[in-house]
Amino acid sequence: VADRLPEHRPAATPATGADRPAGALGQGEHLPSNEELETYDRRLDRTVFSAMKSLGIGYLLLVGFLSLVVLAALLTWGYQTWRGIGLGGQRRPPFWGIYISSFVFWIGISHSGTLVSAILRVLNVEWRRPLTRAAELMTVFALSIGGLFPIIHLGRSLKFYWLMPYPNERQIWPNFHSPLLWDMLAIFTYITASSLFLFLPLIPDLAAARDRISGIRRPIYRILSLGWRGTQQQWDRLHLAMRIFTIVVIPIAVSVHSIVSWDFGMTSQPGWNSTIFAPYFVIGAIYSGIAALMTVLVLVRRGLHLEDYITLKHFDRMGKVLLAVSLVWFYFFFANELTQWYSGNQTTRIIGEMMVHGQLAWLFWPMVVFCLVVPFATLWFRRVRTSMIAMLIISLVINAGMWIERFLIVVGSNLRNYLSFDWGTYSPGWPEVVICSATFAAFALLYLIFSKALPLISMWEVKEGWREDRWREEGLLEPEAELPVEGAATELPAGAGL
Amino acid sequence: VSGQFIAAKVEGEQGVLRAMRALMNAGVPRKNVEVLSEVPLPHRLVLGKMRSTRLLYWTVAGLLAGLGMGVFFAIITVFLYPLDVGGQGVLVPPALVIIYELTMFSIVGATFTGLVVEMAPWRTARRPYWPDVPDGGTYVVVEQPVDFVAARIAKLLEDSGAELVQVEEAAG
Repeated sequence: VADRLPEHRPAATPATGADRPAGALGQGEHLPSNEELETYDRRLDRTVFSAMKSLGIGYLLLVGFLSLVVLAALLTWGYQTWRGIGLGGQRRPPFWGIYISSFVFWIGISHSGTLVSAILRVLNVEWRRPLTRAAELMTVFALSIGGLFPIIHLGRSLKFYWLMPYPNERQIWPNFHSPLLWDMLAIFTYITASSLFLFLPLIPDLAAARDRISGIRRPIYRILSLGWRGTQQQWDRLHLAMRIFTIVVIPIAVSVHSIVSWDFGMTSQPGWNSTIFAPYFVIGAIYSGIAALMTVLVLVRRGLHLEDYITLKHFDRMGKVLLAVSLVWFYFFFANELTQWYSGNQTTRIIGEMMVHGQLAWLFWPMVVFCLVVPFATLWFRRVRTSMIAMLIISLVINAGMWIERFLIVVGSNLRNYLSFDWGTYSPGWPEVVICSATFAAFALLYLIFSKALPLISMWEVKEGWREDRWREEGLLEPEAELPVEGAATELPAGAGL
Repeated sequence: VSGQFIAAKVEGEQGVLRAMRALMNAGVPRKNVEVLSEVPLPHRLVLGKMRSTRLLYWTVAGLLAGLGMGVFFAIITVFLYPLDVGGQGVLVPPALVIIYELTMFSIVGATFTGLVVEMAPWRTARRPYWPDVPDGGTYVVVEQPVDFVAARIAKLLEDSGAELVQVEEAAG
């Protein structure tokens, strides 16, 4: 399947650096001239800004519908807070229900945005450029939603601040050694880092929006663009800050899902007390996050007409990554299950049997099919990886499977304990179903709203990528760029081929 | 530094290089020259890296502050607010998790604060800017050095092929 060439490009594809090693021009490729670059730049500007300005009737209807769903969930949450958490299906022993399953799921979804973006930046992968913004936005929205679930789950949500460390009249200091407090700190750190990691490369694009978009949005862009003028000093500082954030945000992302897993792993509950839980959760989070990113990219590409920038080659590569991660996830899944089964622990074995051929089998086997069989059977084929409809379905199926996997871990393991008097069943109450379902609407709503407020493609990074090959070819990116700041008159560079 | 600016619009990357060479050859200090562009330009093109930055100091300060916060919350408060939590000691592995998270939080917070302080948005409003920069407009802006007259800098820029857009002469 041939990639679609942007209409504005000539038949011989100009090099963008996205498809090959530096300096190795493919057949029929040429380095873009200044005129060509100017044409690409302006076309990218028009595409991105027209997407931000247009408000079609379909868009407004969708936003209205999703807003109603979210409103219904907020009212349900209020009702649950008023009547009490007993409205849901959480009864001992399964004291953690689908709220916590959804919490783990959304934190997992949040993982891949920032993490994938940071890893691609560290590795200087050229094709990352049009994808990073959409991925980073996904992290911030998913984290905002995921972070709400422990508060919803509290029942008395207004008392959530009791978790926070502050001296108080009760003379009780929060126990910092509790994994629940680690959770709060980790999520707070991650959402701060992810938001700033999203914001930094947005600054030049916000300045572009400031100079192009009028009305009520302009003063907001003016404030957010932090006085950006595009001086080389500002670019250098931005690059340095982004390098620091890129390095710092990767261990933060890994720590967050490790800590979420330790909420379970630190207990002596059969099925949870596993040393492999942290890496198993991290890889599961990356897996579901990449799948969610695929879903988002398919929809954003189609909805905002970004076909020229988010190309089939991107999906081809992301599909390969998804396939590889699915296999790594299966390795951890199998290692965890095998070790637990072989331990001979009677309760652990009962939980395993319940999943394989007991009351949870109707969830377990679909999970295996969704998370393992479907990607393994399909993603080997380029034809599938470059089909938008196929990738949309596969990514949705994988995430359905990953939600079930979270449910089986959180609730399934909780149904059986060492003593049989502590065994039970679980079925979610209607408030749980309404609130958890509505979070998907909330995610879509946030994305729709911000697609009109922010450029969903990092314009300056794409433009920089278009130029980098030529600069490299002309020797402008050579390391001997360091020159004396003053008195440079006697030590000019050789002309750098210009 | 006079606070007066001479600015010229240049054509493409070669225009930047010609203007920068003309200015540097004439002895205009590099720190007085700014290049405004839509995308970051290679250092070889703008003849030099940025002036000194303290951003890394902010990062290191954040790291140290975060470590301090982490030690305070995870270890010192255990002594300040004694609470028996099932026989755990004071220096236990969970303390490392808290110290780690607070350190990371502090690093990102301090680095971002440092960036905002260094970019000083409250000062840039007084400096020259043209709204066509995001549309590809590239400008070379010279903050007039005390030992140069504006007309000479303007001539250097014009001779290099740039189009003058702003010439301010320092008073006196």
